[in-house]
Amino acid sequence: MIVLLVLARTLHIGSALLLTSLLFFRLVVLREGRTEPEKAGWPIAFNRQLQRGLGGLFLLHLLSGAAWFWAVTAGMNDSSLREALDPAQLGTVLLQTQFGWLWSWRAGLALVFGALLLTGSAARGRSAGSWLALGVSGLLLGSLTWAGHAAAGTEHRIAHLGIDLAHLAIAAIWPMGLPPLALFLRAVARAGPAGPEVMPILQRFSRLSLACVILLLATGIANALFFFPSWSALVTSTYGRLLLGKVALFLVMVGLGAFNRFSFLPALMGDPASPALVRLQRAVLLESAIGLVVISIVGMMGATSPPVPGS
Amino acid sequence: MRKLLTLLLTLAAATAAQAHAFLDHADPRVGSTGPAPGHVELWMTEELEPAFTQVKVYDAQDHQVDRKDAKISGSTMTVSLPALTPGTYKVKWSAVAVDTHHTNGTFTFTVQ
Repeated sequence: MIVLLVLARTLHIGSALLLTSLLFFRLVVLREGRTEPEKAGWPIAFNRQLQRGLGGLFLLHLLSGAAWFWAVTAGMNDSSLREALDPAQLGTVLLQTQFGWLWSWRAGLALVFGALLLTGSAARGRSAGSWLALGVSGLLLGSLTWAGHAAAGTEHRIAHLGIDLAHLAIAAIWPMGLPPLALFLRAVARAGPAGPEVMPILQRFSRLSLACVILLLATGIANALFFFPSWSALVTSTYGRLLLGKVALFLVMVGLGAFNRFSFLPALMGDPASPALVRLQRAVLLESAIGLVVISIVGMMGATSPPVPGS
Repeated sequence: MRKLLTLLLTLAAATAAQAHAFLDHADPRVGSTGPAPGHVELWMTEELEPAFTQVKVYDAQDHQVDRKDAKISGSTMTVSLPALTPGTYKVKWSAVAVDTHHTNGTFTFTVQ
């Protein structure tokens, strides 16, 4: 049951982050519709991949959400996964718990998002539908805060929820903006020599990343202050060790990002079609892979008890 | 990569049995000795799910002695008691916090 819970949490949080990051990347980083990408030659393949990605991620989000609900039903009833399929058990969790209320509300959001996806509104230029899709995916992501430890505290709950929410939203821009950036770079590299129109996009992403790193650090430290009664709890508790692992990987990603920024971007400024573009794509892919490991640690942290106060 | 994933999942599985909603304090106090209380009240560290949270009081012969009227509100649980005779009583609680995690525990108190 716990393995299902950790897997479902990881996939659900990861898919919510990526859904938001793909839409954010297209609308804010790429500024599709403003840069007239058709003239640039590269974006047709990118847009096709992006739309496929949105569909696949949404399906994964629905399935992992159902699996998470199933595992939680088993956990709350202290029953096996098979027993937790009993409609009475599922109904009690759905109708009589905060988690059930949250999942009902999120199912409504998922319906809206599905409709925007099916009608094509979610991926249509810079239309109202695509901004609405970004907003709904952001709500699907942000509402996950109420399924975590922050929602259960008895002190400073609003502040803790707000910080957790900000941490998740920022993570959707960076590092979860890295997979769409890797897709974008691949599409550009495959479309032939890159033109100068690529540079403002990379610079925009670079500036956003720097801001996100600072904000992630600030919200991450604030979040940890709620959970850790002492510095020693960082190493004596499993929750603390998972957090240290997450921070270590975060620092590796920041280091890689800085290396990319200072070694590849100057080369591309001189010649956007230089081989540095392919090298940057590979480096971003590596960073993306580390980011996915970080998400799996987040999934485990949600299923692990924070340190006991006073211990 | 596969080994790493297995290791991480095993780590999570090994630790997730730890408590989430902890007993902060109780009235009568854990392990205390005193006059017969009219009720038992437990304050937990997290908000509780009433549908999945319960508290019961047993005597030394393991017979349930509370009035079976447990009330769960916020992070507290209360159950009323009849007039208890001198002896040691055990409180058993089982809680699900709103973060969905299940915990349970026991403690005793003595009536003089």
